[in-house]
Order: sequence, then C-alpha cells, then structure tokens
Amino acid sequence: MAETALRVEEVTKQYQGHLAVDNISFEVESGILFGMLGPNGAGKTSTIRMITGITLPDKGKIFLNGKRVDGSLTSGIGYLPEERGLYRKMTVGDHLMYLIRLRGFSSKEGRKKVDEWVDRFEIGSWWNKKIEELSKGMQQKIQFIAAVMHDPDLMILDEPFSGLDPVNSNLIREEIRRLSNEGKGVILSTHRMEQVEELCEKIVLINRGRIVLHGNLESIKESYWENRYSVGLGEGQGLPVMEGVEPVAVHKNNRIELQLHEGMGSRDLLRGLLDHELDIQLFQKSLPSLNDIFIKVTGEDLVQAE
Amino acid sequence: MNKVGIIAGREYFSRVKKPQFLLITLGAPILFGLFFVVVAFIFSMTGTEQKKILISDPSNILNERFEAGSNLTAEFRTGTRSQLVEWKQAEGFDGILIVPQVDSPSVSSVNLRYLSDQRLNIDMDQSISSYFNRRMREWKITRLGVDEELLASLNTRVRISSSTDLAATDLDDDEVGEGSSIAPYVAGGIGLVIAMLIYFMVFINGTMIMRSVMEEKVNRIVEIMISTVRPFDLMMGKLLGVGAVGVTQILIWMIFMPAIYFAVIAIFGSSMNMEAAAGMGGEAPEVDSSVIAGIVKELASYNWLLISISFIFYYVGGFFLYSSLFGALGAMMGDDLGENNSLSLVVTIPIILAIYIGIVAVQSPNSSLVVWSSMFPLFSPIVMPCRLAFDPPLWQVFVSFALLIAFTLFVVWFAGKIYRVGILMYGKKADVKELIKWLRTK
Repeated sequence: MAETALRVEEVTKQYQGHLAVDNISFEVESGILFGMLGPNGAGKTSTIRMITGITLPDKGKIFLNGKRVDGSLTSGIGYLPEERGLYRKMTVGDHLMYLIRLRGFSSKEGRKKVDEWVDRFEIGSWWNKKIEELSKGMQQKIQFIAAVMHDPDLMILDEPFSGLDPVNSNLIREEIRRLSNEGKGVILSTHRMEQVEELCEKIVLINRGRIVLHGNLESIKESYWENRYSVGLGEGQGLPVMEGVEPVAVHKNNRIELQLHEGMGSRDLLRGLLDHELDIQLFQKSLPSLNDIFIKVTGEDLVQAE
Repeated sequence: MNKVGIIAGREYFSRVKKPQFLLITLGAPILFGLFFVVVAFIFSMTGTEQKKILISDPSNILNERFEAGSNLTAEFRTGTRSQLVEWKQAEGFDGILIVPQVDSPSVSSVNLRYLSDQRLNIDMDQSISSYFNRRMREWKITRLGVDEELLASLNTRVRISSSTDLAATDLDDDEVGEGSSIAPYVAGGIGLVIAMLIYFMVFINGTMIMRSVMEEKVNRIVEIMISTVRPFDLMMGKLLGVGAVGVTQILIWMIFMPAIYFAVIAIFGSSMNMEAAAGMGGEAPEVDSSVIAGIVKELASYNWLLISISFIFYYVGGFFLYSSLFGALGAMMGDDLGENNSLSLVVTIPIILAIYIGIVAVQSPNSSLVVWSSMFPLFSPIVMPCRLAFDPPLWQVFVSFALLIAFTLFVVWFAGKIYRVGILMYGKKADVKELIKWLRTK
C-alpha cells in the first residue's frame, strides 16, 4: 500500500471572476508516477501553485504528507516551473549551492548532493559557466537538478521536457522513473498526452478547471475501450469484407484498426481472419489513446487545438 | 533566520564581488570631485577673455580711469561716432563704450551705449554698469561737495549672532559674534551633506532592491524561492544584503575620501580649492584664514555624538522604510516598463519632496513646515538631519525617532504582505480581495 504524498480536497480557486480551478480532488501516492494532464489554461499551473503554497485556495484543503498547506509554511516540495526559474547572472555552481543551502543543507552536505547530480548529468565542466551562457536545454537540466537535488518527498515537474533534445529527454525521463521507483511522489504536469501515456501510472485530466478523468491510466483506457482491435497482416495481404467488422484506419506495416459491431468478440474476429487464410502477424486489443478519450469526454480535440 | 542570512549573503556578495563594485564605489567620489574641479575650471575660464575697448567720455566722469575688471582695458578718446567706429576697426578694439554728456549731478539715470560686433555678455554688462555706478557716485559727491566721511557714517553694518545658549551672559563679546555669524552656513552645510548622503544611499539602494525584486518576479525564480523560503524572509534578506552593501560603500568612502582629498591637494595645490570655492559660491566670499578658523571653531562646537548617532539612525531607518516600499513596488511590477516607471513615482515623490524640504530646513530650520516634516516619518530621515546642527529641541528629535521606528516597523510588515501577494501575481493586478486575504494570513 503506497503512502499518500499529497491529497487535494475539493479545491476551488477564482481569479477576478474567472474560475481557474473548480472543485478539484485527487491524491498522489509515493512511488507511483502521477500525470496531470490538460490543455494550456486548463488550471494545471493554478493547481500546482496552490500545492506549493504560492497561492491559497479559495475553498478546499490541500494536505502534504498529512499536513495542511496553509501558506504559513514552506512546503519543501521540489518544483520545476514551466518557465526558467534561474538567476541568469549566477554561475551554475553558485546557483545550485545557493538553492541547496536555502533548503537547509550545510555547505558541505549540500556540495555532496549537488556533486552527485552534477556527476550523474556529466556537467562538471559547466560549474563556472553563467546560467545565461547556457543553451535552453542545458538550463532545463540545471533547473531539473535544482528541483530534485534535495530529495523532496514530492516533486512537481511542469513540462520538464520542454526545450530538450531527444538524448537529454531520455536522460530526464530515466531520472524521473528512477526517482519514482525510489518511492518519491512525482507529479508530471504537461499538455503532451503521449508523455503521460508513456510514463505515468495514474493520471488526472483537467479541462476548464474541472477534473475530466481521474484514476489508473490502464483502467481508464479499458473503460473507454470500444471493442476495437489492431491486426497486422502479411505483406500485400488485404482485409476481406467481413460481417460486423469495420476497418477504421490503416497504419504502416499493414496494421489495420478494426471496429467490431456489438455482440462480436475477439474470437469471432480471429476465427473470421483465419477462415480467409490470412497471415496474421499481430493481433491485439486496441485501447484508445488519451487524446481519443479526451475528445470523447469533452468534445474538444487537444491535439488539434495545439 | 538562517535562510535570511543565506539570502542576504547572496545579495551582498553578488554585488560586492563584481569588479564594477570597487570601481563605482571609488570612482563615484573621484568623479564627483572631478566634476567640481571641472566646474571651477569652467567658471574661471569665463573671465580670462581679454577685451580692449574704446571709451568716449565727453563729461570726463571716469576721469580717464577705467578699472572695471582685470580682463578689460580701455582707452579714452573724444570724437564723433563715425570717428570712433573708424578707430575701432583700424586699431582692433573689441567695442566702443559711449558715455553720454552729463551736465548736472542730479540725473537719476544714465544710458551708456556699447557698440561692438558681439553682444555684451552678462559678465561684462554687470562689471561695467556696477563700476560706472560707483564712479558716477564719486563724481556726484565731488560735484555736490558732500563730505565723504559723513556719508560713510550713514552706513551701519548689521550682523546677527544666533545662539541657543540662553544662559550665556557674554552677549557683547565681539569674538563670539564674529564666530557665530557663519554658524548657520556651517550648520546648514553639515545638515545638507548628511541629508544628501542619506538621500542618495536610500534612493540608489532602494531602486536596486526594486529592480532585483522585479527581476526575480519576471523570470519566475521566485516560484522556486517561495516553495523554499517565506516571502518575508526573502524580502528581509534582500534588505539586509543590499543595506550592507551601502554600509560597505560608506566605510570605503570614509577610508578613501581623506586619502583622495590629500592626493588632490598634493597634485593641484591648495589654491585649487580656493578657486573652486570661489567659483562655486557665486558671490565669492573673501576666503581668509580667520573665516577658516571660524569654521573650524564652529565645527568643534557641535554635538557630534548626537549628529553621528542620528546619521546612522536616520540612514538605517530611512533605508528600511523606503527599501521595503521599493521592494513592495518591485513585487507589484510586471515587465511593462512604462507602468513600472509611473508606479515607482509613488515612492520617489516623497523622497524628492523630502530633499526639497531639507533645503528649506537649512534656511529656516524652525518653520512649522520643517518642524512637522522632521517628525513625519516619510520625510524625517532626510529633513531632521538638516535641522540637527541647528540644535532643535530634543523632544522633537525623540518624537521623530520614535515615529520613524514605529512607522518603519509597520511599513516593513505591510510591504511584506504586499510583496507576498504582488510577487506571485502575473498578468493581473493584485486585487483588494486577494490583498486582504493575505493580510489576514499569518
């Protein structure tokens, strides 16, 4: 049984007549990568600001490790904001040391922690470089280190992959997985559905300040499964017309998405395919993508809206 | 508390460690001194232009003598106007001064004419007319047959000796009178120097804090900071760090100023200072040793302990008062430069008003405007130092102290709240509801 790192209870936040967050509740458990999804302006950042204690909710409560967040305490959360939150004129080393000392580490302990991360990301040669001299991707790496180096129990990473090339993206992705596996609470906030699908076990999907979906990613997908299968056929083979089977899309490598009519099951489909003596190279349940679910639930297309 | 120290340390060292810091700190007084030297030089330049003029004086009022200034020489000739012009052109005179025929000593006005290729400059205009006025007077005295000594006895020199020492009995002591006549100037000078110092330090460091807060807000580093430290600690750290930078600068000046002063004297010679003083003063006082001795004596008579303590007190008080306001302003700012400028006026206007009241205070240190301003916390850090050398009633100083302490504490608290709200607001103004909510939180 995973511990609850964060509990958000019926939280509402209003900005000058605009309801940014509308009665949101969810929980984040330690060791389970949690994805907070939603289009830009959905209320993700407003929610994060309340969790980190930057603003207070108008209504509702937030508990961090069982303790209520009320603005009087610093949260000790590891927070990676979407924008670059760095002192541009400071050197990489000074910056990291400054932040770790503010988080209560002595210079010596802090240096050990910082060095650990500097070695892990192999950026020792950047120690004396000024932040403003770094590329966007480099800055993002420094910011990531700054957010996690002090071993917080809960880390909130807002669009952590922005500005990163694929190599560094992978590096950060592996670190996020490792931190989660070590039993930390990690919230990955993004508008990029595929990142969450790839990494997260549990999600909350927010749109227009409200929770649209919440729970285990796989079970959500299962619950929105619409009797679809994906079939891969041998080269050059076409799909014959079959009763109750409708092709929806054809992907590369002759992979075909099939929609089965009500009452039909996987056995009926497989039997039909075998009857036509087709070379079946792949046969699997086709779960909807998060984007498909999002469209279905909200009537809005997140990818199109980009 | 420890976090405040770490923040103050960063603010302090990130400024002091910069190579520019020492350069600016040392350079500022040198530039300042250089400025005065240049000004003195410019003033001395104006008089060096040599002019040679031709004077036509048919009534012989000047008696063929003309000493209106060391840079003016004259030659007297009689002739028609066209002859005079001819001579001017042929012999290279700079101008022609034509004194009209004056017959009776009872004339009340005389109109001199000056003919030249260039217009008469103010300097020459004044020296010629005042010189002529004096000579005209002499001429009239002779013509009217008045006794010069009798006339002189009509003049009485009036001087006011000011003292707050009511118990003093030696009111007729001429020496005391002599020393005290320069007292208001010395006292005013001390007051203004201290007030100016406080003004500049508060202003420069205040805006520095404002900018640093604004930068943190605009680049959103503050979001990380706030999840780590309390906003109030962040603000306090900034105030202490930047305040310490100011104190460091004062200390550096205190050590280097005398050195620079002596170096300047050694290089340029002490005459430069006299010239500078004469040039700056406008109506050049005759600087003789007795005046300097008087100033030195005057300086020794002040309550320096009170003045020094007050200086430190008002600097610290004024700094915290205004810097916290500047910090709060910085927190309310966005990246709209125009809006920022008008916002910062809210705080800059009181400081500028204070320095103007300070200048008035030096002239009339006990007028009711000045007295009240020297106790009003927004003005007192600058106005009261201007009054201090004039021995204001002690109760006023203490009331001013007390009000400043109380008000500063309140402003720091209040600014902390505004800071808390403002620094996290993006794109939207801090609305009153939000402000009240934060004022209520612990």
